[in-house]
Amino acid sequence: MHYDLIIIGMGLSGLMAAKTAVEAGKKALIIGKGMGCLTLFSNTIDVFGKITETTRLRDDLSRWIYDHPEHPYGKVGVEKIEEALCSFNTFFRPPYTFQSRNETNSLIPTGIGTFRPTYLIPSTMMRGIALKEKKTLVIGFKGYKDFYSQRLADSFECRGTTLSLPESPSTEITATALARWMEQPSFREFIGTEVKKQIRDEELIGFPAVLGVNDPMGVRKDLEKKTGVSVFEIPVLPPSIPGMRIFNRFKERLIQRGVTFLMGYSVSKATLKDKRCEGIEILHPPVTTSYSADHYVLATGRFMGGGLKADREKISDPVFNLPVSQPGSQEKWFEKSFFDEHPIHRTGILTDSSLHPIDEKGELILENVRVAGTILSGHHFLEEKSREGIEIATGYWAAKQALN
Amino acid sequence: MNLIAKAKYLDEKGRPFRDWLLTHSYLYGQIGAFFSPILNRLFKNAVVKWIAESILRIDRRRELPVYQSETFRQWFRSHPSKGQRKIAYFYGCYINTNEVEVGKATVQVLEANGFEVFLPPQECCGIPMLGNGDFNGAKKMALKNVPSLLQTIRSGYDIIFSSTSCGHMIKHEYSRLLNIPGSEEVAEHLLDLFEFLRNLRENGNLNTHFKELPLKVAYFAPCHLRSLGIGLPALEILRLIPGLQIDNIEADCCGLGGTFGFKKEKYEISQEIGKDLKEAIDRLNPEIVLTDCEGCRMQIRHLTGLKVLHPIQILRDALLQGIDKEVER
Repeated sequence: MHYDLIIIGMGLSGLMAAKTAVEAGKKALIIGKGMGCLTLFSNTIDVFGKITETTRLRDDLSRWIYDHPEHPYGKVGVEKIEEALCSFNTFFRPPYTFQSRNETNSLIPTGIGTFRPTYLIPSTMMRGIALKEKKTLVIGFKGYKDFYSQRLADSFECRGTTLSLPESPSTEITATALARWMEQPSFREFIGTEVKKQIRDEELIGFPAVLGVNDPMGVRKDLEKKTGVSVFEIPVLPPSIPGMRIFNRFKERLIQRGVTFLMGYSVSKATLKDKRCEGIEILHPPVTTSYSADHYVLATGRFMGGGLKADREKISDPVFNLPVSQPGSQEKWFEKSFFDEHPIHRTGILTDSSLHPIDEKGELILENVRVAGTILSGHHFLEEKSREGIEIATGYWAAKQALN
Repeated sequence: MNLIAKAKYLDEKGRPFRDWLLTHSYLYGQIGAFFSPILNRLFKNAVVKWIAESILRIDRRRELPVYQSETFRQWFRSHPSKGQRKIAYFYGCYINTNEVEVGKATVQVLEANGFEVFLPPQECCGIPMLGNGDFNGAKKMALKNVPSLLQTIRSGYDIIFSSTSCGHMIKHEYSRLLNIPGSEEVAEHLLDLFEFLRNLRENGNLNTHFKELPLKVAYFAPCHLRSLGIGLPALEILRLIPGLQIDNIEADCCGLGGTFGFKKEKYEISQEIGKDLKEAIDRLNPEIVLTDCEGCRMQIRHLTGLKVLHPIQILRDALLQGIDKEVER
């Protein structure tokens, strides 16, 4: 089969590239090993959390980019970053949308008891910003080990309580199970009644971000009706239910628009000739299927997503075997302390300004391949708090340029 | 891994008669078709269902598959297939004795695209046995099918299947799980029906003279289709039909799991798994549900009471005016 664009990787950057392609009327194929890391980490949309000024993020970012042209943001530019974020937002219609507050970063409470700066916030989490000003009750569930309400209450200087659930089949409860139960009216009835008993004079109730996968605003509204108090979600440790919501929405919309989804398969071979990718193969034993396209986007992520592999000597990209910038041999990859800045976080694929892969000398390697997402070099998304922003902006921009 | 463990356990402990009955429909399907007027009435009889439940532990809340008096093979024998090129069809047991209409529609659509259809000698693919941990039984079937299918492809013909379960079994499990010699070669030339039609379209050879079909339908991709790794070709092709409003059902598994959902002790969990699917269908509110797998079709009929067809039946209706309208269920 031949496509206009083949996207390798099903994380946020790959999904954005597919969205951009199909909206330009192009025939797109997206291949992913699994659901992508979106369902692990992403709760809100970080763009550049490192900047905590109260002016517009756009202006600060614009200044920062000027000094950092090698950063993925430097290659995309502020205008296109904004365009990309707008495009992301068009997949989310009220009541569940992603908004910034006054176009600046906001601090929202997290499931490990910190306040974290982020840019676009889903509707269910928005009210968490007011946690410091309003009396709040944080709800945990017995057996749900990634969210200790008591510990959070200490950090947030509010009150916390842990509910015991009836008929829970095992002593350990996962976020996914809780999210499914939350979608059942009978479960919400129980939660509503139990929470109401605990409320004293609180004006806000914080739940872990498990208020259902399909209709979180409906679940929230129902809980508010039953408790009589405003409810918000607090982002939690992986897996991420809000990330699953983003993934599901993209998958549904993209299939609806005709994108071909191959989930659960990885590229077994890429045929390269004269600086071009001529086709890829997917081995599904015992059958090998070939696909070709005019353009390709590589958006396979970093080590967690399987986009980068490391052995004792070298870090490599298993799809196109592109050169990966790396900080010397293994002893230079890590610092002694966990919280130090480890050079390995900065490794990645080098690209030119239009996201084509290049080698260390700046020579173009593949002219019909573009690279998007966290696999790119020149950023440190953990420290910058820029993961989703980089994914959305580069995924959008890679596809946009490929198809122009 | 689960299947291998199950097979070992049952090898040691022995298999219940129910497993035999659920996995050997290929043996009694013909007889079933012959006695269909009596059997079908019996299958709906509360007393018979009560007996089936008490003795065989087949849940009485399940509708038992109804047999048709004329099998697909019998129909095909009196059907002269004509076309410029030849294509082989692996139809599967269920199409032969229970949903003949799907087989007819497949043949008609292929003929409308200029293909002469022929049926290579074939037996049950063996998936019901594999699913119930009877590796030897499944191997026996595979060893009968592979030589016949090999001969077909070595004569230069591709083989298509309309049942994603039979297709997945032959294409991927014959080699990986059962180590059947020659199965790799078969797999290379075995295609899903809609995958085949999609390839025709890619080369500009698909007959797209569709009449308008003002229907609201919903499509469900069966698990075995998803594990074929070919995307959703039926959805891609059906979208070409003017007037047809088609939604993709966002749900995971129908919950029937082949013969699993027929077992009394598994009925509840089978319904629980299917709940997401039922809710997704309710939200879309279609007139007809389409899906490529016979198991899913049975389960969706059971869950929703809606009319459920194979997507090829809709394509046939869009392609051929008024011929052989499918039988109302």
